[in-house]
Amino acid sequence: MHERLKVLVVDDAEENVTLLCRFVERMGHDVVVARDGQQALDLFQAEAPDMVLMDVMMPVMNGFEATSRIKALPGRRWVPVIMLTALAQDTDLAAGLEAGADDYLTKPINMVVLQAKVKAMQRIARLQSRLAEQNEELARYHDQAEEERLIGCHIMERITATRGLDDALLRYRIFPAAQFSGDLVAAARTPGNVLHVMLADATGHGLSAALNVMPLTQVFYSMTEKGFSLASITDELNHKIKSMMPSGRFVAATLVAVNAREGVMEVWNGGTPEALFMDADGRIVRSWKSKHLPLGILSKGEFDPQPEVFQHDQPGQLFLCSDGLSEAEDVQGQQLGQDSVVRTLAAVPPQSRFDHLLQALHEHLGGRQAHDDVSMIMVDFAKDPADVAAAQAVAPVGSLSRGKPGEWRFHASIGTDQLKQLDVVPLMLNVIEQIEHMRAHISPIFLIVSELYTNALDHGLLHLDSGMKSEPGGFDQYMEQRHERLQELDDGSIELSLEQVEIGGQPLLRIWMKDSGAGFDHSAVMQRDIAGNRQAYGRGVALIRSLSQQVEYRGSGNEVTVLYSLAGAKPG
Amino acid sequence: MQINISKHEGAVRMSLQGRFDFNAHREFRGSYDAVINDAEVREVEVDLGGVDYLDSSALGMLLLLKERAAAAHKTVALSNCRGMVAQVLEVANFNKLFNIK
Repeated sequence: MHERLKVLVVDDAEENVTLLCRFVERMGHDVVVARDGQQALDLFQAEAPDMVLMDVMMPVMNGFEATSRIKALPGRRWVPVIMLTALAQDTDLAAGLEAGADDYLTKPINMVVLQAKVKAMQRIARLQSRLAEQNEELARYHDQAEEERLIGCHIMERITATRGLDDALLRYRIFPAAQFSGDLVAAARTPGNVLHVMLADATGHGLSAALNVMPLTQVFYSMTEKGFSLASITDELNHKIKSMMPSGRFVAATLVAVNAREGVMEVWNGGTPEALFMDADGRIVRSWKSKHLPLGILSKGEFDPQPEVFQHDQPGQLFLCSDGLSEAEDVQGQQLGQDSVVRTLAAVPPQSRFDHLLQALHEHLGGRQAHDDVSMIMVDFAKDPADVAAAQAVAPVGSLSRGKPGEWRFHASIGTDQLKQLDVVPLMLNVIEQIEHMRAHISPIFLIVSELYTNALDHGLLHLDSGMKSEPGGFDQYMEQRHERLQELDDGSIELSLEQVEIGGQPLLRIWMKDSGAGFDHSAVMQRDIAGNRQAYGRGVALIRSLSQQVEYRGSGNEVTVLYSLAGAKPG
Repeated sequence: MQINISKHEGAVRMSLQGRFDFNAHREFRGSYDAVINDAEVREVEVDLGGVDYLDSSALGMLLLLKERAAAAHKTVALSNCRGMVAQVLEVANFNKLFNIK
């Protein structure tokens, strides 16, 4: 309050100057004097006063001009200018305020009024300076937040690795509503070459939503790469979200497994729009509505991870999207709508569908951004019994080491309860993967062990007839029976061992499996497999034979030994 | 979003009006906190008849309410779900969690 100000007094009349100086000094402030507008401008810049008392009529440059010039000078500090006008000259008054003056005083100058106005200006100046400080602080926070955002983006990109999405059978797109997307799309292949796809939509959007989906990618990719089933992965994803996220946070998702070799799709939908399967003619052959609660709500045991299974021989396309797509609004606030999405896809041939939909979305939005994250993914599907491309062993660069025989043996016994629950094959192969020189062979070994295990379980223990699968409607029947019989199984076990041996100087992997069942007619199964396919490599025992050196069934067919050559892998 | 609370015979009805989204967080929480602490109340009914917009944040808020209510041995029911509200609840399969009247 008792700040000592520096006041710039501007007047060409000597008496006024003297009077004003006396007043100002009496108030306890310092004075600087200018006799015309130009001097005022120069002194303002040289002396940096805290306040200006400006006369109107002056030579060289008048008060209006000087005020306006002073106010136009760059600088963050607010300096009040009080105009000194002749009595009751309204035009002067108005012009003064227009020119940028903050207040006015009429002559003759009254000391009391002058003092009051100076104090008022001081008060306002303090407010202004606080405002300026806060602005600076805000700018600092903004810069900090911007830097954090950039780091966040960087990390997000690394974590939500997109390599699996480069698959030739996939088209996908995400349009985030903000910097960070609460939607996520992921894809990867199992060692058996089954394509797993996930589309996830976390509560809300922005950074907090993106943080919800991040844990999903790690689980999805690592479990898929190990060959876990879609059900196991879905179960683990739910568990992860439930245990890591606060209540009230959940992730809607659709998970898909596409097995081209067997012509089978598995779909699990919890909380996202209907997944569609469209044939070459644009007809929807099958769709999967959300049947489950989203991930992260139910606890393990309450949660049902089982996907719906669909077997199909004809080519088509699977389409998944988040609700942001059908809810995208045009300029009038009209939503795009699910029907419109379907019509757009069906209107053109398969290879053009994705781009056609992107175009339609773009037109609908009219160049604006959607208010919610939009994501979509399309998977080409065609049954291909020879789809064992990934089953060729691929040598890691620079390594042809073979290891010594007899160095390791792995044996496991799987009892009834475990048979019903566990994803046995990936768990066991995870052990093998730890042995360095085995890694190159993981894919073919995975296929062999999976087929042996399926045979042992389905035929040896559950007594299912695989011939049923190729009959019309037989596939669903087969799956139902399998599910039932597995639940009812009360006494059954499978033993498995993997051992590295050397026979005739060659390094081999001996795979041995035995189930507690009565055995099955393996030669008959083999005949049927060959008869059923033009290419015998696709299925069952025939597949095992195509990948290995020797297959030998013993006893009633419930015991089998497969020799797989470790002698050399194809360069990757 | 506006919330009107009426109480009769151990049941409280929270009637919601307007947009039920992220911005309604404080309002909603504030309303049910008092209800949860009331020992006389056994059932909380969330009347969504006046809600014209409901998003995933709202679903999250309902989940939190359910959790708090369960801890205080109270049940939660959802009523008058129409149009968009009914649709969103259906896709999320919330009928598996809530009694929807």
